[in-house]
Amino acid sequence: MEQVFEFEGLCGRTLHVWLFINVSNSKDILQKLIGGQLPVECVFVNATLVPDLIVLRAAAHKALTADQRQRLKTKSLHSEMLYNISGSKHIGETLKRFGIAEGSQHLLVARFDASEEDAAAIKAVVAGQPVALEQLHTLTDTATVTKYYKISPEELKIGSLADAILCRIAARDC
Amino acid sequence: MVTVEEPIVSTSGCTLIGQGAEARVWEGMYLGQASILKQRFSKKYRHSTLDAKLTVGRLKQEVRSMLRARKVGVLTPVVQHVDHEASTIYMQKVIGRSIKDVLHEGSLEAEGLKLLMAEVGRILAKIHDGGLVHGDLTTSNMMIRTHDGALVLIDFGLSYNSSVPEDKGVDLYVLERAFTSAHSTQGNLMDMVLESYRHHSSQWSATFNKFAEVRMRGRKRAMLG
Amino acid sequence: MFALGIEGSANKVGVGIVGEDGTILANPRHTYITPPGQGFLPRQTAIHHQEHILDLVQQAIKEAGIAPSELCCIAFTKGPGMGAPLVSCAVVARMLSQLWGIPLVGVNHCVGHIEMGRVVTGAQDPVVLYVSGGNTQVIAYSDRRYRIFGETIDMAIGNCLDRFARILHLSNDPSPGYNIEQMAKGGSKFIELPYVVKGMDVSFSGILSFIEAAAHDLLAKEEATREDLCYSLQETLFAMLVEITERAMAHCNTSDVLIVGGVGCNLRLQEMMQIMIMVGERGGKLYHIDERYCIDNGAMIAWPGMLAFKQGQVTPLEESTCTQRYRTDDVLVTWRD
Repeated sequence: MEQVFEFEGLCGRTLHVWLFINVSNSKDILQKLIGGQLPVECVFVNATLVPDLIVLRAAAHKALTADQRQRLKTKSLHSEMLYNISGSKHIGETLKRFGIAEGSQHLLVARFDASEEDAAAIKAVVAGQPVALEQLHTLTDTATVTKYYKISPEELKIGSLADAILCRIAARDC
Repeated sequence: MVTVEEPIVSTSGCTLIGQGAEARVWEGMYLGQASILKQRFSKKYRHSTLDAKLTVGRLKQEVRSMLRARKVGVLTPVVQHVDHEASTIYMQKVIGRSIKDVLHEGSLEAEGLKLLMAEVGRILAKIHDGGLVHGDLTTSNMMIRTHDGALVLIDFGLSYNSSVPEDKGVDLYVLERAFTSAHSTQGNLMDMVLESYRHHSSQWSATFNKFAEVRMRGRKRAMLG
Repeated sequence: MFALGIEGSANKVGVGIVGEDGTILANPRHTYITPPGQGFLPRQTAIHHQEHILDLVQQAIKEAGIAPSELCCIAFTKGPGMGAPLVSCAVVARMLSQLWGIPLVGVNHCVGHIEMGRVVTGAQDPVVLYVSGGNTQVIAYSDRRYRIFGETIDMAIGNCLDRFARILHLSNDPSPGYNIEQMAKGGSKFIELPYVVKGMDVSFSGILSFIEAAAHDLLAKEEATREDLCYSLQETLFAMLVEITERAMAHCNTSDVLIVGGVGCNLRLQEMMQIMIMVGERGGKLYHIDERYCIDNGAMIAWPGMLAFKQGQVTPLEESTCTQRYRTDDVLVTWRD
């Protein structure tokens, strides 16, 4: 139920990712997040807006690279990762759209370099059903994704949704 | 050999596959995918202000242009990552061959050649109508993807946004010259490209007028010794 | 066996005599210099050439210490260039040919620069940057043609510099470009100008209009000096030239560069090209010819004349016309493999 990713050229750094569906306590998690009361720092992402894990990994890679150079644009590595997902420069809007909301049903949760205790703590926080990450693509809300990322039908003729998003994440500061 | 002064970030494990006039090209991995890394380097011969402006500006423009081309339905490599500090663009590796190689090999028969040139005309019409000028249209910068035969436009290093017919005309002129200097024995490829361009561009008329003008200027220019 | 060449396609008229191996025996010339702020016009330039050419022929023969009977051909510039000055020189070539009973050979001016550059420097197969008042081309040899890989899509580099010199009212003596080069040495502030490279082609007209407009403004507000403007213009234009040369080198997989044409005398251009070649990891060499050959002269016409003559190419009298338009790649290079 958990997947761990490594990054070329960023030795020793890992990203642990979980997928929960039918989460019932999003409101509670959000409040803890805002109040800084979560047992471990992690990032919660609206799973319906992430059609492919490569998107999450690209955002994480970009955050790690920025962190390594002390060029984070947000307050932490985890928030930076969330900010990177949208490919937009608008931080507030990104966190609102792609982060956890009161009514979020399906959540991707990720933490850098998580220990076993961290993993246990995260699982304890989320009241939802942990499922295999392979299920992620079945949750995708394509209409909202194409709207948020401004992806035209023309673009989808030559590449996947994930390709389109990857390009936008990479091109944000260009 | 001259030592490399620019920081190369995480290119350990990458293989240098090309050294162009303004960039080194490496092959490596990005998140488990085959990746082509294009690292621009500064040019010592030019004024530092001009150099910085060109290096940063072209890197950003190259990425923006690839995205712009994709948005109008023209295939380019997927941009995976941009490392501004290292002036490096990571893009998905395209498995295929350049049109230059295919033409030199001369294996295409007349019908295949016509289809290929028609596709070139179609994608150029699309990017031009989308307000994008490639700036370096050569047969090396067009690839045929192996798995599906799709045409992929690469190297947007000199591209820019423009809807001015003159700029599009020059773009076509650059391509025509590439054809005549490198593939002069292959028949009139440019005519096939233009024929298809005319079908697919809504602004072909203005573009062709300027193209003809630029061509003429090319000939007249030799007037003065 | 010697060849005599007559050149007069622009504001210089020259007569040169060369031997079979390219040795120059004589190469006198005369330049038509106009007042500051003025360019040279075809009619006046032709009159200038007519006034000097016979003296130059006599001077060349005398300096070379040969008799006309020792000449194998009379080479003349067929083009490209300004019509009236070209014709003035061709008339003299025809006259000498008839008088001495020696065949004519029409020569392309651009090819003259290239072949002269090759023989003087010993460069075998370089990428050629041809920069003058009328031309801006990056050329490489392939399959019996000097092919143009990149060129200006509007005005020539020398023309751009000349016109800017006119805006600043710089002297035309010895040349506007030379005076811009000297002024540029005193510049320190870099003014950002447009930078226009399209593929392997360049464009200068937009830069000229930009700097013309900016010049009045910046000079009036004392935000830049005339020296700064010359410096910035040179830095920008030459960076473009070096860039397209490097692109052509990468394209042709060639490591040597030969700069020819009047603007090739500019030391800053040579320096920038040298840096490009040194840093470029190709291990090539920069060949540039000194101003005796860079600037239009008779020997650069005589030498390709000799090369063509040795291949049995002569120009019959009835075909000894001139043409203002004559592209470098129109010439079939019979004397190279």
